[in-house]
Amino acid sequence: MSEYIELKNVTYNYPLTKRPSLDSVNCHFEEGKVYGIIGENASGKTTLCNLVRGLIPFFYNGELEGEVLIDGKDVREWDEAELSVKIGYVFQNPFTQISGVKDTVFEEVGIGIENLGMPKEEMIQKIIEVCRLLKIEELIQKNPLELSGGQCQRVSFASIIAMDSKIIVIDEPTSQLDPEGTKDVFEIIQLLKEAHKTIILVEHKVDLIAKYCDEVVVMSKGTVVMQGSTHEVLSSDRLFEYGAPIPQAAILGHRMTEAGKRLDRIPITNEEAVELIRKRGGNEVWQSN
Amino acid sequence: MDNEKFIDSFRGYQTTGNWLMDLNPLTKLNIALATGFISMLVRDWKFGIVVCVIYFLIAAYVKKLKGFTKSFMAAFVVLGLFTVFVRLISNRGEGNVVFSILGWNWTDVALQKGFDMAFFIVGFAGPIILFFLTTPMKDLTYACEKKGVSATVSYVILVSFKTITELGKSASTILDSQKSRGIETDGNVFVRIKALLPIISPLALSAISYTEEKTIAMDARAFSVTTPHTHLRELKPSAGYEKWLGLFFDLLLVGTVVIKIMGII
Repeated sequence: MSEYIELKNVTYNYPLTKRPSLDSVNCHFEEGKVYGIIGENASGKTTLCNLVRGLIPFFYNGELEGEVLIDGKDVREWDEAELSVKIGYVFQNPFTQISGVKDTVFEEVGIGIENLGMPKEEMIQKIIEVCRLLKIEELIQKNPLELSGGQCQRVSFASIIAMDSKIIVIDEPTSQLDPEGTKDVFEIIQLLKEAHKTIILVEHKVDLIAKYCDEVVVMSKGTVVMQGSTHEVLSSDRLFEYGAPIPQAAILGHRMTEAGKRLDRIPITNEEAVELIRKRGGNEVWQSN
Repeated sequence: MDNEKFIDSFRGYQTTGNWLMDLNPLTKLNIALATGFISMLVRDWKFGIVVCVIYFLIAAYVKKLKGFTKSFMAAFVVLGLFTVFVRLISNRGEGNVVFSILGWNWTDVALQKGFDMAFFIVGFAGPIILFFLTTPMKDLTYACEKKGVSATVSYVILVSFKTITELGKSASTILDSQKSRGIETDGNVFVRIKALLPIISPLALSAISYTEEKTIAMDARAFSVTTPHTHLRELKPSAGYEKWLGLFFDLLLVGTVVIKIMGII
């Protein structure tokens, strides 16, 4: 798989700030993979998203050093509008992503492709297809301003997916949603994964990152401190020192290791943990205590 | 409505079935402004009554009578009658007294001038109210875009109207959270002002944050792309006669100006 986005020694300061929000960041994102970005608060995750998406330097000024290559070209050389089409973006607040000028969900989903000048019949077919894929057909006649948070987020995804962006940056899409809304969002992420989109996902719900992502990037204090396969990163005990969230299953695995009851490997999902504990002989684990 | 029918409705032009409502928004605006200015130029209460009756008939024809009556009466009572009242108070005894109450004399000249002014105001307000009742903002901005106005300007106009409602909701949310912290928000004017003042800065900050996120969201929806935008929802192109209709009202306006200058009215 080719490297689609690459950051080389990137340092960035927001305007009027002294401390860099990104400090000597080196990382890469390959086509067709799902990347989870984790880290403690203020570690630079959203800034990384803004950079990849091109909001830095086009929307947020500040001082940017280093190279940010998107499809081989530096971000500063891209046309801002072209980049906005190439890289989709869904973020935290589901309500501010609704345009506020469309009366129905059907029109709201089509707002991006209207702006791209897609012919009308093609637009209609595209919207129908996307609504069916995201299971929001029952919402198409509703006013977007009357939707719940989870429904708004699904509609936001729909309007981005309709634009057929190759890469989608998703910044904490479930932080304002209930468990049902969260489940809906991750079902969409699974669909995008099956469609071989490149996804860059910032999330605190690391148990879900463990389930859906191919690779994980860990950030701390504005720097990328770890990048690797999901299992390799999330099972590592180095996550404790960086204050990054750790899957429940991995915490269990580490605790069992400390207690002298090491499993074959540190699990990162509950299913894996159950499988490994069974393999080890579940009763034996408890009997020795 | 069935989803299939709803989706099918986008394949054709958006119409209401009423020829007046389906006129091009710019034609309607032209007629409304011309009619309004004519009424202002004539400035006669008898003429004003006649045109207002016509406005009500039009409102009934386009099935907007209830909404029009409500807005028109609000304009008439608040602006029109207030103007009459001011005239009556400021009258210097011109004309014959037609009514007297507690030493306050209402003269025929004061009443006539007052009602002339009242119908001057509602004569202009009437067609404008009718215009906005028969023309959704999105239709007006669509028509303007077709004439070359940029999509950015259209969006700014549309979202500005919606933002007023959104800001109102934000203020309400902030006030509720103040209330839950024990701050008194109900009561007399001074209590309410005291409760409202502290929310101004959080409201302003939330508006700024809202604007930033909205801008990013619109950028993510290819807003800055320069290729011509297409529209899912299209209005039917202006019929040939609409040009002549608009011209007719413009000529009426020009004629009224000429008559006014000549001192005939």
